[in-house]
Amino acid sequence: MKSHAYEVTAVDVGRLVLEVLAPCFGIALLLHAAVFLQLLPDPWPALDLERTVITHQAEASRTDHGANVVFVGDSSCLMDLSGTVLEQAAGDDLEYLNLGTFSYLGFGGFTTILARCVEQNRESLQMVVVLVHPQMLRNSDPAAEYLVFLSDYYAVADHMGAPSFYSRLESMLGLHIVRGRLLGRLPQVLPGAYGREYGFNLNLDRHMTRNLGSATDPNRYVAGSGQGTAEYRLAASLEPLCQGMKAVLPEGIKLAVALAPIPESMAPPEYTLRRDALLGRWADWMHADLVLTNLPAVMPDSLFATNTHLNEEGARRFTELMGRWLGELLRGEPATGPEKRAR
Amino acid sequence: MLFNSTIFLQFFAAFLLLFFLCRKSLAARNYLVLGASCLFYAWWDYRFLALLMVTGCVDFAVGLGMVSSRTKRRRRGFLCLSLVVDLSILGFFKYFNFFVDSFAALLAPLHLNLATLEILLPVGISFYTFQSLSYVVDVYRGQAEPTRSLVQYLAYISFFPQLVAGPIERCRDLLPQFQRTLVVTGAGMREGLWLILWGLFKKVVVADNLAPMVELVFDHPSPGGPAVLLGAVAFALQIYGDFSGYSDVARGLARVLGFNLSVNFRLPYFAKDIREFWQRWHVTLSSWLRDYLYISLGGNRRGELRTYVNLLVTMLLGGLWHGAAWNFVLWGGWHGVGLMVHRWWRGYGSERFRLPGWLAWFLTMAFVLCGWLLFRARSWDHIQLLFCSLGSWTVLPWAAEFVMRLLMFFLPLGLIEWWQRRTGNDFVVLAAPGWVRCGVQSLLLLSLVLFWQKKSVPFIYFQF
Repeated sequence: MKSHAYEVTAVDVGRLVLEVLAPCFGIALLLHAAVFLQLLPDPWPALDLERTVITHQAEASRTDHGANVVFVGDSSCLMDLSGTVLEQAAGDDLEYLNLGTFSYLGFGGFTTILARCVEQNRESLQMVVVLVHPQMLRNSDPAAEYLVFLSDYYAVADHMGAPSFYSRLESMLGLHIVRGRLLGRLPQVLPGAYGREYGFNLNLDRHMTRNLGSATDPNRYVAGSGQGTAEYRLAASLEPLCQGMKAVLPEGIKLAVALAPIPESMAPPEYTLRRDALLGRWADWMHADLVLTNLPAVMPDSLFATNTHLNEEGARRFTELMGRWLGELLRGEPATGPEKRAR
Repeated sequence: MLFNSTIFLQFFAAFLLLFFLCRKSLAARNYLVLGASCLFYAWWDYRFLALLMVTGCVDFAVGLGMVSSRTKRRRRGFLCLSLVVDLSILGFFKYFNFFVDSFAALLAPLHLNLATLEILLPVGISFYTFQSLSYVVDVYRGQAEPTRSLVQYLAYISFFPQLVAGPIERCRDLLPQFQRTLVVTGAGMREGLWLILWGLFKKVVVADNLAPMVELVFDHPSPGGPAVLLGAVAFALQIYGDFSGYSDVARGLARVLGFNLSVNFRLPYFAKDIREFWQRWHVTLSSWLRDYLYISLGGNRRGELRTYVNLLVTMLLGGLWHGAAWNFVLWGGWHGVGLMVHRWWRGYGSERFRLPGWLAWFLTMAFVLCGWLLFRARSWDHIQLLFCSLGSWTVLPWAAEFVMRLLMFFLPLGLIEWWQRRTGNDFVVLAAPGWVRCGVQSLLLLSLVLFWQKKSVPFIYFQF
């Protein structure tokens, strides 16, 4: 017995498929034309947690905030500084701005962001503080995709993602335009604890704007969860990358370096001494004017959200120390807070 | 292998080619379907293929045994054998730990330590077991002729488009399709492609994008009333998009091959009473429960009180079919009570007072949404939290964004379904003018590419 008969020809099938595909290419053409004619809004691809933070910070860096002190660094910089405390510490005469990013952009990425910020805030800027977690100095590779993302954002270009068959198909169909210019502007749910704390990308973006670029890590630290993996050393390969940062600063703007604190349970013996040595050597590579040696190297576990981020209370305490010292320094008052080492 | 994965697209393309090559031999086509279905199932875990085959072989033999039996007693013996084998496999793999845990909780004051086993739930076990059981019962009742071909029978219970999440096909509908020449028409292919596109849209675009929003509410330690309501709506749409999406893709794949599968969803959220809801939601399970459980219990033939009891028992077991947890039983019970109240209302209340259509719809949906809270909850404590939250009017700061995103995914779904309902035609888009038809299909395809995830999100009903 025959299995089945086809009462359809190849031409019919071809017409069926073409009926669906042809308009897709028409829509793609329209999208590309709309970009060319500048009919669509600029890209704002805040599509997830990492990209929301980068987009926010990149946008902040190219805006004139009249900032006197700018913080640049990794996710510890983003999370360990409390926006509320900075605002209180600012008083009438000092403005702070935090440009820390969630995904690791490396010193190359930090320099790109800083260069934009310096361009916009040249008149007001007095000091740049580079704040990173000590583990970062081991020189893990920066996330290449996010570096491209950042440069695309600055170039007002549509980001296509890592090259693959899929990204090429997306780009041909103009879907990267939809994603970056339209979808990113609509609410996107943030994952896990960040979702519960902030909800959507738009809420995080607004939170960061209100908090001078800072965010709060909503996780809860489980003591000892990172023990055995902590390793604090300075990778030699970082030296050339570090030097770029000073180069983008005009004369008169001071460069300060600091390391974020680590949880008590993760600190090896005599960690403070080791941290100071590490910091000193890194400061030399950075050609830093100031080294913040007496900020706490270790803080109680209860003040941490994760191995590398302080929680809200921890960030408040750490920022109070940081803000007091910076305020006194910039106003030319004698230091009463943590010691500083002027170079 | 998931329908919403690239590997499935490759699998199906290869299958289509082989299917074309087998067009001259029915036997070759059935072997091909069986082989492909085994590969499809084994892709998840080849070890559990044996369970599927055991269920199939036993029920096939039972069917033949029944035909050769001269006495009713012997036929009943065969029926019992099938029930024991099928339900033992299902019971062990799906419910063993549940019953042990529940028993242990009951005996907790005696400090007895009952050990549970690490049992992996074979995907689709509830679906293929029910499908195979329906064959045995139909043969026992004389409503179906048993097949004498093992390959045909195994192809029937393992047919890959509907193997892991239904529709639960009756043998009288699907089995004959493995016994005759099929005809693949242009209209069938067009409808099949539409079903695949629409089903994938409901799954990949609607359900998968609503999933993290649902988690946002259901994982929140103190969500507040408005968020719970929004979460319930989001979950209602998510589970509908997920499950009806799967069913549509299954029907579409089958239709492209020339097969016809049963409709599993008939726009359930347009129902104006709870009975109508169950005539529209998971139709093949509802009718299975009606024909093999409710009627076997006596249906409405043994007095009013017994009818109510039968309704409740059927729905409780229907709830348990969904998953080995008390919240599913509770959900089944909730709907059982709903059906009882509806039956009473139809008999007495509706004569005196007729509800306006919009109010009937609103009350039905409110009832269904409360049911989804029970269904989605993780534990008894969680159920309490969700229902207590309904009394608090704390609005979470992201409520506006939640509504915006919910609307973003609801509108296209709602619009097309409203159109389908208004015209009474599931394929209304295909009947529309060319530019509308092409435009809608292309937009669906583009949104699929836009939201296609590298790591496919499994279908919710796979766990059942």
